[in-house]
Amino acid sequence: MTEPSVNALGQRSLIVNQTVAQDHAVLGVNVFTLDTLNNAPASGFGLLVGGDADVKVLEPLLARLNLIAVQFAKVTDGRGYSLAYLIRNRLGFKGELRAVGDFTRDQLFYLQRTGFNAMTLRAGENAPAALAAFNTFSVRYQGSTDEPAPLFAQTTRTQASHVGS
Amino acid sequence: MYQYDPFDQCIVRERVVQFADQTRRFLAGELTEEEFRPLRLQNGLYIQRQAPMLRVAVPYGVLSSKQLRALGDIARDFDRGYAHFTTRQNLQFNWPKLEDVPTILQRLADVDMHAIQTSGNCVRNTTSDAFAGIAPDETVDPRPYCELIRQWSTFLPEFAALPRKFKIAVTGAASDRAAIMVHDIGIHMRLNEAGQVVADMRVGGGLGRTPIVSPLIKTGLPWQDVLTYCEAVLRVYNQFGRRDNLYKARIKILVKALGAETFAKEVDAEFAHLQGGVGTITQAELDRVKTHFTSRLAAPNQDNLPLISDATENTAFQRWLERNTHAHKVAGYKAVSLSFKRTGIAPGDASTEVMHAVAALADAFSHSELVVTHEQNMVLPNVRISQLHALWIQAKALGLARANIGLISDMIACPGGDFCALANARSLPIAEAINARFEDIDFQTDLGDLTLNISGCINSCGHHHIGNIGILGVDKNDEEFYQVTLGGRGGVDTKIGSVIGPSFAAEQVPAVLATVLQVYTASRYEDELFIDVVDRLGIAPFKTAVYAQHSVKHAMSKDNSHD
Repeated sequence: MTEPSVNALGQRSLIVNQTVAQDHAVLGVNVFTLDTLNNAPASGFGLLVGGDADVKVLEPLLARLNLIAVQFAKVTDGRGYSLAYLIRNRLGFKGELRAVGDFTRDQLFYLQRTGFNAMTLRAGENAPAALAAFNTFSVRYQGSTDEPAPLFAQTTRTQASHVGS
Repeated sequence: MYQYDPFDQCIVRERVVQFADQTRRFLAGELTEEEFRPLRLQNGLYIQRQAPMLRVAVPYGVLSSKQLRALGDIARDFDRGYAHFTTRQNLQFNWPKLEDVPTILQRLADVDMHAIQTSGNCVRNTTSDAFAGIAPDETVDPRPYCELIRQWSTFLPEFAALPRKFKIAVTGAASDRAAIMVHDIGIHMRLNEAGQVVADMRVGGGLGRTPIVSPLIKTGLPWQDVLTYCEAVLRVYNQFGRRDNLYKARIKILVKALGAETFAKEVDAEFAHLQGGVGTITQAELDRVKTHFTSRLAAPNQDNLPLISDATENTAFQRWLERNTHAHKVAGYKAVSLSFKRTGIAPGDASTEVMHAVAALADAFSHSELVVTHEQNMVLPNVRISQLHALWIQAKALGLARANIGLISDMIACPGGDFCALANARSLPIAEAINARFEDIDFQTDLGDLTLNISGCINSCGHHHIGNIGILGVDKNDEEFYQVTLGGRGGVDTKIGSVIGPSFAAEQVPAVLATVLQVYTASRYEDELFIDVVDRLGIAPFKTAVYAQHSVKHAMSKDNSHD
């Protein structure tokens, strides 16, 4: 397996998988699932969950985790976005929150907005284009994890004359 | 109407760049059909029977004449010279080429329009009362709230891949002209006892396979909380809505499964985290948006209608006034419906020439503004009474003055099997056959107010469940049949119609309707409406007469379209 290239971009990591996106292979040996939790060390490990994970189940584990990876089973299954929002905003998790699974660079903008700071892209994705996808839109009407305040709470729009690019 | 500022313009321009790149990658083979599908759908692009279909958002139905001209230009330059207005106040191009779509989006962006989230499993274009801002029975103008919802829901990151599509409708009047009870969220803005603007929130209505009139889950919600409450509803739905079965994925199924009360508790628990938070609508923002909708009308006036000496002309004009003009909040003004229900033309279809001509009418008579109605007509909202006759003459010349608003020929029909890949049956030939059978305007006028809705499949885009008479196309062994429902209605007492029995072949439908109408005219008391007769008698006498006179031509005696 080729070493994944990691591009640090502020708080974000974009991991372009050079091989097939097999989650465990990418995530490494120190990652467990809810089923294999018994084998996990006391702390400092990662947990891989599906988009349907219950935040109430995750809550007592948080102090032990340095990574939560959320599996997107299908690109059309958006439960992972709400899960990320809740993990960040309701549970206050500050560690790495990584999206893995079925998505392309077209979803990166949404993933970062809801609270993911790492995304494992499938093989073959163009890394510079993927990095650019984080800036698809320079205007965000509504708040989310990245910027809790909606546009109207951030700026006086009647006086706005310039929009940053 | 709302005018884009640099922020709004920025977002639609960046969307054009994004979608152009996605289209390029698909055409170059970098994205598979499966990967491109959700991306194009969130841009209103369906792959249909004949060609891609592009649905353009007309936010809560409001258009400027400039925008309508641009839509007409696009129809001429990239389509076959016409477009179709939908039951959700949007507009569809039926024949664009995929490679032209980015250019079309650029043309739309140039006039502050887009196709964002007009399909796909996301929050769709918000719809409203076609008479918003002018109806005398309105207490709160819903348009500023619609615009706030439009902005909030645009590229809503957390809810970009919901279990299923999500439609919000808002009204602010005593009557409900936006069918809010058959939407995923139906919002009724009103004044409370203290004179404050509040919202009653209904969640989980819908048509389709499982038609449900939505329950009220929150009353008296302060206007400031509308967006955060919607966010709470969506967060509950995104997590717990079913994703295992396409037909059970709408929020109505979740609300039904949990029960309205339990669902409301879940939403309230989530809302408790958001209430009063940074997402709360501020007075400053409401005021900013509201100023766009402030009436630009001249002062109320005492204009009179012109006297028309020619008796025949006068009769026709009076009939048009009666059916196609509507009361206005401001004295001296009327709202005027241009009828897009013409013989020989599909309901809601408009050619480039007609779109351009209607734009000119809006410029001349209605402050350059128009509204697309849920019934697939267009409204000129602000016409001075003194100008009604001049407008009538011009509308007549365009074939848009048929005095049939609210009558049987003002039917709602989806594009059906002629265009739509989902349809089981064609709707347009049925609409046309009914039109031909009941063409006589005196006969129609005598029948009075009656809604007729035709859907080509159970997805119910023609809202057949809530038509006084509903017609649903069903497929039986690759043959088209049509099921008839009676007694449905929209509005504040929304009710799902009842199926009268086994379905009929296409050629039988006009005669079946004639029988239904005969029962009505024979049974009615003076001035009693069709729907009131159905309520009084039930569907039994209609059913008896219909099946006595029309034989069912397919083997199945029991309809199975609701499986």
